[in-house]
Amino acid sequence: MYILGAADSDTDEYDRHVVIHEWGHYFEDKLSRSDSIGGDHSGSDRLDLRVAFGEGWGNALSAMITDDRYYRDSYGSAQSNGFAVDIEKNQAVNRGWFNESSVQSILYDLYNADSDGADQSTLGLGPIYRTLVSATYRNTPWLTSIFSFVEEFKTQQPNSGIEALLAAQGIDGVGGDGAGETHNGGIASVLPVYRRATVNGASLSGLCAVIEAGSRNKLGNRVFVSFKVLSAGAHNFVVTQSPDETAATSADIDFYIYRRGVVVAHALSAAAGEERATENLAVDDYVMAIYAFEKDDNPLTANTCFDLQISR
Amino acid sequence: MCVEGWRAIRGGSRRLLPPLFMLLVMACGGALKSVDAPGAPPDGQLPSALIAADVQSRGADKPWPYAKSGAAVRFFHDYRGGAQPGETTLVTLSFAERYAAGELIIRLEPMAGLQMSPGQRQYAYDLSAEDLMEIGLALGAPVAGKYYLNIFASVTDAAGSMQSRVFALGFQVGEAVEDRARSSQKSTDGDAVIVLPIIE
Repeated sequence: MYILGAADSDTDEYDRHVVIHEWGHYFEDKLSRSDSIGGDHSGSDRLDLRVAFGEGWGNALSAMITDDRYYRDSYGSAQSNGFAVDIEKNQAVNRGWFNESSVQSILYDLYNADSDGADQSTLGLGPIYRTLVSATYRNTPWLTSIFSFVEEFKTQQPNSGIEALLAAQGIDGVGGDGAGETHNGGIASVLPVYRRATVNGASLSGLCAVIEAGSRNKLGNRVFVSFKVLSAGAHNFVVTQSPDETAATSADIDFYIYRRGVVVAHALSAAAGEERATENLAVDDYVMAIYAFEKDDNPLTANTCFDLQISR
Repeated sequence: MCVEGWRAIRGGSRRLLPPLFMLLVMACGGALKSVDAPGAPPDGQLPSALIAADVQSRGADKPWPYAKSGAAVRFFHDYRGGAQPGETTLVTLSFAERYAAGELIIRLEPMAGLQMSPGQRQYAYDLSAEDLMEIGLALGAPVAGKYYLNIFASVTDAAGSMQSRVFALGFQVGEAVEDRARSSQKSTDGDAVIVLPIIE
């Protein structure tokens, strides 16, 4: 953990919410599971679902541990300035499964005793903790998100009232994959949350990595594809930029393949317009994250669409 | 509120520059330095795992460090260094944001000894505007040393929520002096470690 400690600039050693938030990431990494890709984020951002859950968890945890609903961050000369975020607040801008404010609102409402609106839950930290450290949560084939959390949480706490909290934040997908989710944050290509590919099946087309919500770690920057390996052995993955792509130059497509949160293969070449990999895979469920690589000093300026073929 | 991709907006500070430069008696130069920390970004932000390093590692599935919550504002500058005591350096600060509406306040706080012109400390911008925001400054110091210009960005979004983010521009005047306290190595019992050359 690195904490800012610049006198008269930003002194996070004095900000217990900030320290606890960052410790929350440590907890995820060491005792639970986080598939977050990190990066900058704000309460109103439409984020990659993994980032949204991790950051919302950190914010909610800081309010739980301190029993202070106002996440405070001081800065400036003699630490005389600062801002506060009301973790209890339920009116998130750009609410949804991709928003950290929605995540923190749900988690904190599960924890605290105050009933407001859809919140009729008073469960404390225990059930949330037990969900996050459970073997089921840590080994889900889906990426960590509010969906994977809720799937296990509902198994452990079938009468928690979390459904109302989810509905209040515009989240209606079910299961670890958010099946049936209808809220896309204004970006049509992000639904379904996971596209399904079939080994030796038809090419999966119309996959688009989009930059409407920003770049790097925002909603739509990565396309998530799930597939099952039914017969162990070498599998071939070919991602090809769609021929109707309007971008002026061919995109540098990259992808990762995850088995229950562990990277089992990746294809990160600088080749333009196509990316390939061959990997021996065991029988199991897998998730791919496909995206257009971007350098920070040369951010993407166009969406990238591509096709995926998996064969054995 | 719809949040858009990073968008830079133009402010009105450029028109302040001509009179500013005539008034200044410092000369140009300087060397960009930043705090020694892992993942130090090249753009002058205070480096920390809490601020996203602006370099993506292609070989990592977790390409960016965790960043703390804050305003969706990013900071860039064109300062490349070489300042000497008594000289001025012209620096342009640029900001980009992801908001469709709201207000952005930029407040500048130079460290003691760092001279900044114009002396205007605060700039306000309407986030519904599409303009590029840049603040032109002349920076300098009469005495050699390391100075920081602290930059506080606060956004009040369309819902009335306020979040901030803090940046800093490191400004080296004269030659950088090695921090002896930092460079000396200590063993756990407090005795200095004597580093001997390797002879093979």
